[in-house]
Amino acid sequence: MNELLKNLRLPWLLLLLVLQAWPSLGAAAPRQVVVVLSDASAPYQEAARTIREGLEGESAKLAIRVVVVGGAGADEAMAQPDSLLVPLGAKAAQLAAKSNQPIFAALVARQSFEKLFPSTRHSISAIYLDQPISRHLQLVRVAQPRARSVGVVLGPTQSVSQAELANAASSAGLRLSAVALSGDGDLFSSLQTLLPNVDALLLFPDPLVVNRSSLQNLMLTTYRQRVPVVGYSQNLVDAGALVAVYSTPQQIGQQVAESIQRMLSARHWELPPPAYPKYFTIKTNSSVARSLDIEVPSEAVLAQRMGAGAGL
Amino acid sequence: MKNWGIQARMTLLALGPATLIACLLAIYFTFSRIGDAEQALRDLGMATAQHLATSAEYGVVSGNKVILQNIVNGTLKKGQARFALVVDAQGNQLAQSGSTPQELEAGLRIQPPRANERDYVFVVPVQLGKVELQDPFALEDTNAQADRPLGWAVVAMSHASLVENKKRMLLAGLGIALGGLVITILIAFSLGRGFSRPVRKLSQVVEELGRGNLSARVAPNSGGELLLLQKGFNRMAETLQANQTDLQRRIQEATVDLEAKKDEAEQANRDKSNFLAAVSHDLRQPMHAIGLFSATLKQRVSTNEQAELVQRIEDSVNALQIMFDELLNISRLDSGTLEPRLEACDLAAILKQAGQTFQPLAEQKNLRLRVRACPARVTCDAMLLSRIINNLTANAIRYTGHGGVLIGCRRRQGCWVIQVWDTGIGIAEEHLPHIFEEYYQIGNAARNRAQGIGLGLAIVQRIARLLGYPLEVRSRPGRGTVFSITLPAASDASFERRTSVERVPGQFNGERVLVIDDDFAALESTVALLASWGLTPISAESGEQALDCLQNETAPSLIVCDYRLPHSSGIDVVRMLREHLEMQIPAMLISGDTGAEAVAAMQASGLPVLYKPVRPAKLRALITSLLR
Repeated sequence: MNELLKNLRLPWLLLLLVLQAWPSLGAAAPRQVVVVLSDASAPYQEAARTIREGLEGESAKLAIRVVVVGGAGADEAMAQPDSLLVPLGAKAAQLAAKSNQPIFAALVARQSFEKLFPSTRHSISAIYLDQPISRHLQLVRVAQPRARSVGVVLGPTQSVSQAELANAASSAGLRLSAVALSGDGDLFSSLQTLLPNVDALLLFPDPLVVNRSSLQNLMLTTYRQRVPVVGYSQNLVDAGALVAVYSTPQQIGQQVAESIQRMLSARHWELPPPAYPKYFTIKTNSSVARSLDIEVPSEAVLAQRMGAGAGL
Repeated sequence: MKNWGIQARMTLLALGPATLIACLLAIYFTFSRIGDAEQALRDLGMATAQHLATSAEYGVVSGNKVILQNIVNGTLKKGQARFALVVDAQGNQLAQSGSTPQELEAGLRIQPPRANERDYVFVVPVQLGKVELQDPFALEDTNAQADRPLGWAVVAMSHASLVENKKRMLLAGLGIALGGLVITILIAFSLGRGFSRPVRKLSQVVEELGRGNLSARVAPNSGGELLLLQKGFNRMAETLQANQTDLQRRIQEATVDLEAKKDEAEQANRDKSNFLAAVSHDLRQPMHAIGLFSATLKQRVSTNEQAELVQRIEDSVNALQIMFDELLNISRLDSGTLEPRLEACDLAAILKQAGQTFQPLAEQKNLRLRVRACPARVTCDAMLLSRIINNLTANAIRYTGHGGVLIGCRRRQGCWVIQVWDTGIGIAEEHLPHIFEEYYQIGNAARNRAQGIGLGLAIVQRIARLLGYPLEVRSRPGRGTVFSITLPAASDASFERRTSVERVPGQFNGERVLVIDDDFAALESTVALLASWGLTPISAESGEQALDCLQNETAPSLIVCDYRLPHSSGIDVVRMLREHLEMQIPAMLISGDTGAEAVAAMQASGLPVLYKPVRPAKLRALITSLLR
């Protein structure tokens, strides 16, 4: 549980640290890739390993270095010319933002990335950590085909815009009920009014909505209303969400590696624009499904219907 | 129980209900507490299980075993549960803590577990909390789904602590009951003692009062009604004592009065006796002398005319002597010195003697005197009996004008009844109670001395009383009177035939008789009479003079001595003379003294006594017998 919450907070911590970063992009193709890990924890290591493995075929043209923020040789590696910085996580992105090298960030939430790099330049791009909103709604669609409406609780940080949501919902054929939270205390009263009118609850990362103290009660409240929760991480599924769509560090790492390969093989060296993860994973909680007596297709079926790339 | 003391009763009274109540209360509260404890354990178990179920709701739904394990561990840590576990609806164990028995783990898959003998097992379904649907348009009853359990929360509470608790409670209950009993016993004993001790004390004092110790009191040291009782009792005892004292004082006063009166009466009686004794003694001396002189004179007169005169003198003297005899007799009887000598007597002889004695008197009054003697033997003092008969006969003759007097006897119920009948004037009924009084004479207001002095019947009654023989009198005025006296018959063996004492005048041959009397007239008359009978009297006025007279003379054949002599008694003189002459000379006493002491002394000496005035015939008879 603790692990879960820590991970959920990570983007926001990184966000604060990389506010002063300033990206730069060189015109020439980079000779080396410096993968900067926000820390030495397993997800970053996983992602780094996947990137290295994905780029093994290019080792003649491209050297790969993996450093950890604050670790030995990090600053020196980042300062070398003709390098492509691949910061993993917000902390690394923040650090990378200070250099003028081209940056291809990963494992950073879209909102954080946009705050770190407000003016988009060609030499800076990213693979976001979060999924596109339409994908969430599509998951609702395939996992709960009978659902007609979907609820969303929006915090003040507004990681997603209500307009986007409304568009995505209508295109998925769902009625959206959104409730905006103004303070800390009214989450549950908002839920009480929201839940009876929706067939599923869609969660987005928001410290006011999903946090260590609220999560269990949030889940119980939805159980008691028999409203399935559609989450955005594996931890949320473990914590009681019926189903979630997310990308694993490997999947993101794979996408990063594939993007770099495509750049190297292209005649014109250019970073792709920032994108949502291509590969994703669907995870369901059979216990919740059984307890709530909800029929949910298997993960494989769901993934297939979502048209997800199998990834790793 | 009837014989139980107050203390025992009070103890029972206090102990019985107290024991019952203590036992019942102890039992009731112990069992109710045990029940409570059991209930509490059940409630706690149920609450724990319910709490576990509620807490596990999220974990079960989300399938989060870590959370469940934490909850289960917490449940076990907090409560008294022996084990706790959470299983899902299919019976798969999600979390478990404590030592779950194998059979329970196995059983869980088939059905919810039951209580085993060691534990209470509480099984509560884990369900989603129900939420009231606010949508009034909802057609589906979604609540039906909510009742399906998601899983089961199982909590086992151990019996062990309950059993321990039970033991403690039973012990405590027992202890309280025993403690209560002991306190009750102590209180009952102390109360009982506080009550029974004063009561016992009271009963002791009552007993003492009963024994006569009226000064016994109770210490008023109790309280309440007991104090009232004690005080009241003391007041009662005081009143009793005061009454008793008053009574004793009155009795004492009365006794003193009575004694004074008795003393007075005795003094009066003594005075009377002394007077009688003195008078009879003083009158006796001259009477004695006159009698003896007239007897002497009678032998010396020659002419008929003189003889008649002497005869008249002698008659008067005889009457006088009879009166003196009666007085003497009554004074002797009154003095209590006479002791009857009981022996078998020939009744016929005594009656015949009486007949002979009174025949002349009856003839004088032209009365028929008849004696119907029977050959009976009775136990009696012959002398006293003949005096009774003589007096009754004399009395009968005196009061009978014509007709006759009958002396008879008859047998009645083993006794002999002697009766003296007369055909005299009879006694009116109002006089009957008084006829035995001294000097009581009916129809003799003038106190004619020819009719006696009224002592005859008084003497008869005194003798009868002395002998203890019943005396009766029946009378019909104008027709006659009968006196009866009843005597016991004597057995033949005790009867010894005695020849009747017939004193025929003896012939004397000048035997020497020593006569001692300080009264000169008496001495002279006696000497003269003895000389006229042919005896040789030697006269002396005292013992010393007698000794002088006997100097160089032969010893006398008989001593006739007056009892009262100037310096010594006749008894002493006789003894002295006998010692001096060194021989048992026959002796007799003549006494004018009828005082109790004198009579007793003379009886003790064993000497024959004649009382003055001595009738010559009696004197002659006694001298004859003594000289024989």
